[in-house]
Amino acid sequence: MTRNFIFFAIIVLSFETFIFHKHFFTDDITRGFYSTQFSYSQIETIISHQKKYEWVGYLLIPILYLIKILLITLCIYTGVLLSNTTLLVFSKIFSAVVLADILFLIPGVVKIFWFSFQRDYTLEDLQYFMPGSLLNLFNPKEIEPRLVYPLQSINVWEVAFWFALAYELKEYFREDFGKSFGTVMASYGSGLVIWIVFVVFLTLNFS
Amino acid sequence: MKNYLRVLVPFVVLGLLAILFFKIKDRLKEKRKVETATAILPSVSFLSIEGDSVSINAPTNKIPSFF
Repeated sequence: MTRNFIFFAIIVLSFETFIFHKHFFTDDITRGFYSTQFSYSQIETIISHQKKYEWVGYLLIPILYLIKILLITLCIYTGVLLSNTTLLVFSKIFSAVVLADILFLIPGVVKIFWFSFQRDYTLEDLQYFMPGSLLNLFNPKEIEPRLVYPLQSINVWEVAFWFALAYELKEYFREDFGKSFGTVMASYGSGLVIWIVFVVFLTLNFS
Repeated sequence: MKNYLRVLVPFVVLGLLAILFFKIKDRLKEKRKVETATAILPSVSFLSIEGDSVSINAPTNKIPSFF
């Protein structure tokens, strides 16, 4: 069952990436984005490199997906290990994470639908847009670059993921949803905060 | 073992956050210094080896995108 969900998630993620590459990240959009920074020949080189190494992106999808699932599972396993509950098997938490992670496929689909009906958009609009996130309350072009990722990360899908995970793990906490949710928040929440702060650090260093 | 981990794990989490926080703070301080210094520079332009115009006032890619 878990294998089917993993396969489904990888297929959907690859499909979303394919749609974005073919229909939204067009050559004209890339040219428009880089036109103020590079010459025409440089932009053409960038585009040809992007096309040449497009397959690397597809190859990385399953690898990054599995790394993400494993890291989340590890965080929650640590939380469960430290809480006063019956010790859970790693594979059970892994299955719960894979199932709850299906929620993160929805924003990609929403994004595709949203931009299908948009006439004028830039590469920045595609990068910034995250349906159901706190970033939608601000103008992304006016805020500090380092705040973009944290604001994108706090979204309804993330909250739904916490609840879904707590609900799936509830039976291992004697049907106590509160305790399950607390463990998820303490373990996965800590991991997420570290990750967000790390990305802010990277953004600051590369911007 | 469990009690030992109960102390160690929050310590590691808080330690990591503290390190990152201070690194971010240092970087922001450094960026502000550079901004103050470059604000008084006159507008100049250069040509690259390929002959393309390179200007310090040219807009740069504002947001590096990791994910």
